[in-house]
Amino acid sequence: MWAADTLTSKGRTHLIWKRIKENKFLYLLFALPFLYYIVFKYGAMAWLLLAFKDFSARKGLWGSEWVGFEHFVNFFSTPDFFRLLRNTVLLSLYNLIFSFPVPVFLALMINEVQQKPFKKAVQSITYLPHFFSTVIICGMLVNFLTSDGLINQIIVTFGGQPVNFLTDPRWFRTIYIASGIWQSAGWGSIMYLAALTGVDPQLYESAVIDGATKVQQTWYISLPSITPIISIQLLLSIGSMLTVGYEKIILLYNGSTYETADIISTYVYRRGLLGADYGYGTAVSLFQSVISLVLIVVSNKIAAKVGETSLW
Amino acid sequence: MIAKRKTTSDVMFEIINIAILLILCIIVIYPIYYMLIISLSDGYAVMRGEVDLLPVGINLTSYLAVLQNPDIPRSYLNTIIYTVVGTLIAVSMSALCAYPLSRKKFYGRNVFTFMIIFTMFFDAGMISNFMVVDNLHLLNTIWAIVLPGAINAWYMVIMRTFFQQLPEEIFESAYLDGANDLIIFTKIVLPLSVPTIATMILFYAVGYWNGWFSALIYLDDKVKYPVQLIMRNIVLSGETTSMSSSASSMTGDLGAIATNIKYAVVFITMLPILCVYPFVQKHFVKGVMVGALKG
Amino acid sequence: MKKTWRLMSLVLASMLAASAFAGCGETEKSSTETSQESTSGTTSTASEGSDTLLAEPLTITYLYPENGYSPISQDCIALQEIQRVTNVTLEFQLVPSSDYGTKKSTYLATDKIPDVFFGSQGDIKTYARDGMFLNLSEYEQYMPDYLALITSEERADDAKNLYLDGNLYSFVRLEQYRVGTAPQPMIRMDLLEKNNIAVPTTWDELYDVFLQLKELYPDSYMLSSRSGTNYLIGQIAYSLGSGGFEGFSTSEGMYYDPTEEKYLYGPIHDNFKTVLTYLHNMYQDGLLDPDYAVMTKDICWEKLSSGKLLFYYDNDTFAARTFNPALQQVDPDAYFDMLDPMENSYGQTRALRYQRDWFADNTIINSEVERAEDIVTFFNWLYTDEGAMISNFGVEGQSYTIVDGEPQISDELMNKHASSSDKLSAIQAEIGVGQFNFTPYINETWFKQTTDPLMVEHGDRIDAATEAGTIQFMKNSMALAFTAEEDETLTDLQTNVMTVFNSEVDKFITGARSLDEFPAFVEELKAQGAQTIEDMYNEAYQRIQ
Repeated sequence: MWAADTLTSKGRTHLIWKRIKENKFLYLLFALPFLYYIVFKYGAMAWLLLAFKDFSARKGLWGSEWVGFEHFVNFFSTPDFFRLLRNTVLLSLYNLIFSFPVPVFLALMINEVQQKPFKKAVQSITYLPHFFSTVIICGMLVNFLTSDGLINQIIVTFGGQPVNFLTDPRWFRTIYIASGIWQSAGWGSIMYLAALTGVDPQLYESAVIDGATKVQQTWYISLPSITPIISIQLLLSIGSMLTVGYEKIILLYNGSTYETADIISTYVYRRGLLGADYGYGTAVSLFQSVISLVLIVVSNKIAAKVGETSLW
Repeated sequence: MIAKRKTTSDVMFEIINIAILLILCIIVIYPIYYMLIISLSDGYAVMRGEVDLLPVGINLTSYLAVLQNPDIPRSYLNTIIYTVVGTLIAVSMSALCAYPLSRKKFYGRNVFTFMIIFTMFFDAGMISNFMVVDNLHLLNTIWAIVLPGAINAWYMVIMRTFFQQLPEEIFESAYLDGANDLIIFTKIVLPLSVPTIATMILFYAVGYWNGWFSALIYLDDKVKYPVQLIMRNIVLSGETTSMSSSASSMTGDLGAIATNIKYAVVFITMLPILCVYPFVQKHFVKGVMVGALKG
Repeated sequence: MKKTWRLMSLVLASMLAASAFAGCGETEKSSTETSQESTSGTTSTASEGSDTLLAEPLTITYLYPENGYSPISQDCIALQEIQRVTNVTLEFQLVPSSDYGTKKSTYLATDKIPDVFFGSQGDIKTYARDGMFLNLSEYEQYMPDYLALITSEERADDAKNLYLDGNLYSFVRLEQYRVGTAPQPMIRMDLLEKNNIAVPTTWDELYDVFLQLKELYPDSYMLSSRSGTNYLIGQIAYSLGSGGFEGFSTSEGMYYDPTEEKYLYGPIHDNFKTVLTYLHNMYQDGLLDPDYAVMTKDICWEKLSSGKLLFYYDNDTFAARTFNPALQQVDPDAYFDMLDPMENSYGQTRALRYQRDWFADNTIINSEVERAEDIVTFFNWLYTDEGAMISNFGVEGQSYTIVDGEPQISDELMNKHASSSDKLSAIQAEIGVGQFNFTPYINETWFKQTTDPLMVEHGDRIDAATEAGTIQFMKNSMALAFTAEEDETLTDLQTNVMTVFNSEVDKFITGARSLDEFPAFVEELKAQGAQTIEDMYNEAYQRIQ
């Protein structure tokens, strides 16, 4: 990059070796994790070839026949492919937009609480829902959202009309995202609370002397000091945006809400191919992987240009 | 500390802040409270839908029924072992991975980081992971549970970001004092990162505690199953997704486990791991790092 | 930038090499390991003598799902007795039933299935053609008893569905004796009696009864579903003169129509409009639970146990086992009772009962086992009278005694489990028999001893109606009759047809779409290939006949 172009290739190698030798202990520390990635992650990568094969268990990965892009063609020629893709993208996008900021605000709010016992109580309560499995959460959601469920009882008490939350396609995304926030906001805020411990208290003290209000302190001191963590979390979230699992959706959707709720993974699930046809399943996930990679590479470029944070 | 005089706007801020948090807590806690009272109520009363604010016919039979399962004590112990061993390995491995990657002078760090993030998205799936574990002869051992997830790329990157935020001066002075990276890592970086490490311990421990998938895939021996796998089987039995074939039999439909028992199972499994958080919370003190730097 | 790329490509190259290694090693190794596994089974010491079924001891490893509420014990008396009599040790590799499918498919895909496993027809379809499973048709001389059962008069027709390309790959679970069970109309008889309402015998009369009950109990509903719209339709459609979605095959609209003597895709025939009209009217008149489409089993159970639902069309045994006890805690007179099959608007009186056997429960043998003949001999033995006795009732004198020619649960066991909410399951779990254990030839005589007499009475009535011809058995799945190619087409078409069907059907029921548009709906389904599905079914049906 920098002076490298002016050096001969031999000199360049020499320089690199020198740098590596200087920091040999860093490489020593990194050896074990590196080995881990080679063995456990890259050791399994060859199986991505399944996406181009007609898999037969007896013949194994290498013995199975090549089918080229057949699985991809099948996948793209799904009827309503674009509706599925649109639903997938919209659901993940809304999910990111609405779910991502909540833990940040929650952490900032908890951080401002002066009463220690209350602070601890809020922290411990909000992270609880993380421990409930999807099946339990969805069972309860349906229970609360039926026409005579808790939510509709509240609506009726305040003089409103009961809402068909579960059969009206317009409500599906709201329910999906809101319940997601309910379940993970407290858990997500832990990371930011940890980051907030790194803020120098002197900053607040001098801000108070300058007459800054609480809101200003939060906005100008707390928030900026956790920005690096927020950016990294955001980048990673964008990258894994599209990996919306089907489990929660199949527990919450029904024919009436397909219009908004049916996404790629639920369709593939309904088609019963995930369990039976590994080639097809791998092709679908490979498609998602490539998109995810593009998303994260692009957003990382943007982040590096705009802010100073970068994943690599 | 300077004696603070609170302005009206600050008082307002605090009141609003507390009010919002209070409402949030109620929203979060009611469903959980609801599950708790269901688990403590009489099965038929639950079935008739009579429970909503207070338990009806309060009793512990559902808890006793779950605890009578002969597999529970052993699987509980397994889970504790997997969680402790797994967390120890995972936190050390992640720190080992994150520290070099946080240092600018570590040649190749961009490539390595990219390589690692790449694995987050390109996962060849269940069969391939099974094959790797099988080739390493780890099937049916504790290592199959704790090793494949030893580094979570997401957590590792976060950890790296925390390390990057340590002020550069401390490294410079340490180098001047003749310390090498091993010493800096163990004597300076780790002690300064207590809140980070504590958070990571929490995250990994909860992950291992809640994990059941690798146990399902990699373990053959029922004696080695973690508690989540046993509990899941109780909670999910009678759901239409499981073994639909038996549904056509007279006994098959019986497979509905009463709701109160299901919820009892949920509480029994999550209680121990909930105790980890207070220990982590203890380290979430404002300015600990700065204090440590000065001290 | 350049050198970054160079380093990266170097690293990537080394990794690909590493992964290639990992991949190569795998095929070789897995095959050696399976053969090791099966040999280990045979290396036992001295044989116990020739009075046992097999002269040489044999250990069979059996991958099997275990239910959360009925654990399987390796040292229960049934297994011990089996070992004593046959010289065979069944070694279970138990997997939680909630996730059994995942474990099984991992093993299948990596070719690591043990000697024997519990599988589905789908597994046979996907893997048998690759030669992974033992072709039982080549071992017919070792399985006379099983063959006699599946070729017997009452089964012969259905059993044609067990062959894949003319070959048999599994022992399916068969019924020796059961108390009759069927999805039947169940009504709060106490309310009919109390209000002097006549017991309905036709679907139209039933509707009038619903209206009267609604007037008396305006807060209650008459009908709901424990598993969504298709399940609801599946319960009532056949009796109303149409069909499809019967039992738990909630994703298929196909059914066998005895009057036309062929398979029909229910929703594309005019009679289906009758079903939709009936449900639509119920919805309009406030008889159908507005949440019918989203109800979970738990909520549905809650409504039936608390008087919020006064009728259901589902498994008749739920009443005696679950709802009646819950209702009677509050109102001792309350109870659900069964209605006989009702006459529909086409003048037919017909209803369905659950299939006789469990074609979805298959015992499949790995083709690489060493002593295939012995394993087949053993599983055949479980279908003999001796095998069925032990695998259903345990040991005479210990777990049962013979009274009037029928096995009765021993007093000791009865007393031990007297307080259990589900006595039979508890007793069966203890001795290691029954549906949730491996028993392949089911005899549920014990039900008579352990359950509410009401349930036994219902069973007798269902059997009588079956004799009279008003109740027919549901047809078993034809899954194996299709060729690999047909399968692929079917999966595609069915998914597409079902997607359209599911997005539209509720609109007709709730009135969002007028029933006048039914013909248009039929065209939409046909456009996705519904007619083709029907034709393929009948073609395959002709082929196996």
